[in-house]
Amino acid sequence: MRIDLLPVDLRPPKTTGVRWIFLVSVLACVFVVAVAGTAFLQHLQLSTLRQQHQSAVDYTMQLQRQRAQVDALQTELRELESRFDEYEQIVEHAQGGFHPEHILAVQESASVRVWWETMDFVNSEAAITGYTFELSALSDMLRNLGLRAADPTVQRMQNHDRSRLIQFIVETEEVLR
Amino acid sequence: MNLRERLQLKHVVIALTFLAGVLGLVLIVLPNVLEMRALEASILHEERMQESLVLTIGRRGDIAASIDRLREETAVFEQQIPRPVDLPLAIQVVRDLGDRLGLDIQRLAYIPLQQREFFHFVTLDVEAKGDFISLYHFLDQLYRKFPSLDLRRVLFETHGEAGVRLTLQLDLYVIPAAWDAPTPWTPPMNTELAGRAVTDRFGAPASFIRELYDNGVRIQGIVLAESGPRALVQMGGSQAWKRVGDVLGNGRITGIDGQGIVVDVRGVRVRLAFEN
Repeated sequence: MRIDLLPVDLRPPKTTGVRWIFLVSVLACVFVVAVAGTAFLQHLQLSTLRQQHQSAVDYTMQLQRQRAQVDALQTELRELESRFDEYEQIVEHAQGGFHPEHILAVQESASVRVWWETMDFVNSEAAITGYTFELSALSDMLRNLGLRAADPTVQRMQNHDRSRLIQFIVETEEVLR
Repeated sequence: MNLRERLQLKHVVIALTFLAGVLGLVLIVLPNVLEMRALEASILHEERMQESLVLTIGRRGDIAASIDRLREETAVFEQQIPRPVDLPLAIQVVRDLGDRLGLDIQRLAYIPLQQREFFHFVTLDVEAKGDFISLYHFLDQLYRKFPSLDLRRVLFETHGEAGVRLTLQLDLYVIPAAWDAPTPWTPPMNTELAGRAVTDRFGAPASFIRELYDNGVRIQGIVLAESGPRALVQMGGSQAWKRVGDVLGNGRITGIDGQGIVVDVRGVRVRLAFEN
């Protein structure tokens, strides 16, 4: 019979038992290795990500330089549009009133039996003085003028007894082209 | 070192190992995770920005094409609308046009540059004499040659023997020097007279017609001879035999028959009856 004289806490563990300190040591090592491994892998991933990020930043800067050129083009386009609008306004403003075709419209309303003395256009409104020997010619003229101008009105009419001359003043609103 | 001390040492080593693991986790792994997340977010942000930039840059071709088109269109306006510095030449163009159409330009004056709202213009007063058709073409050509011309007042007046007088008050809009137009004004070329046919309805002044009667013109006799008809005409207290083609007052005799004579006063045919 063998008697172990060592105190219980100093006795070596049984060879078949699991020593807790061994397990904890293994766990500690695994933990440290896991942390180190993770850190290493992260380091690799970070390197890749930093490269990707740098590439992305470089590409963005390159695009921003191109965009600056496009912005400059857009500014130029806006300036040109503004200038074009101003020119268009000038021409529309200038040509918004009288047009030479107003003369033709009035001319075409008169028959060969009517003669003009004056034709006065202020913008597209006309005042015509003239004469005829036949009242019917004046009526024809007014009817024709009514098709080409708004509201033709005889402002004055005067008969000359001896010559049978009929002098008139006709005014119209807007003459059409 | 006894067994207890060795055991304590082991505990310390194990604790230190755990501590190293925890420190690695806190000081290395966690900051790495945060940095990775930040980098991923930043990359995503850059990619979105790139998409937006690519879209904008993709419009470059359209913008450049629009600029080219607008440059051409504004250049056309700039070629047509004079600048203040071009005024002497523009006035010469008006004068040359009048000369080309055989008109007598009697007045061509201008008031220096004025401004209304953002419009800059020069007011021109033009007076020209000639036949109506030429005056109409003058006006029509002015309108075509100067698209920035505002014909404020156009007055045609029959004018004695000299045909028709045209008085124009017009504003010629210009491109102010401050706008710095890159394309210079091009004096307009002479073009063919175009448009609808124009008829001249301007006759002699009515005073000319009335004058024939008011001067007491009387046909006192008519002879229809083989050598040509003649009429004995009393006018202004004197008598004279007149033939076709002779001048009578402001007109010319164009016909004599048994009923009287026909006088053409600048295109207006007036019949004066024979008074038995």
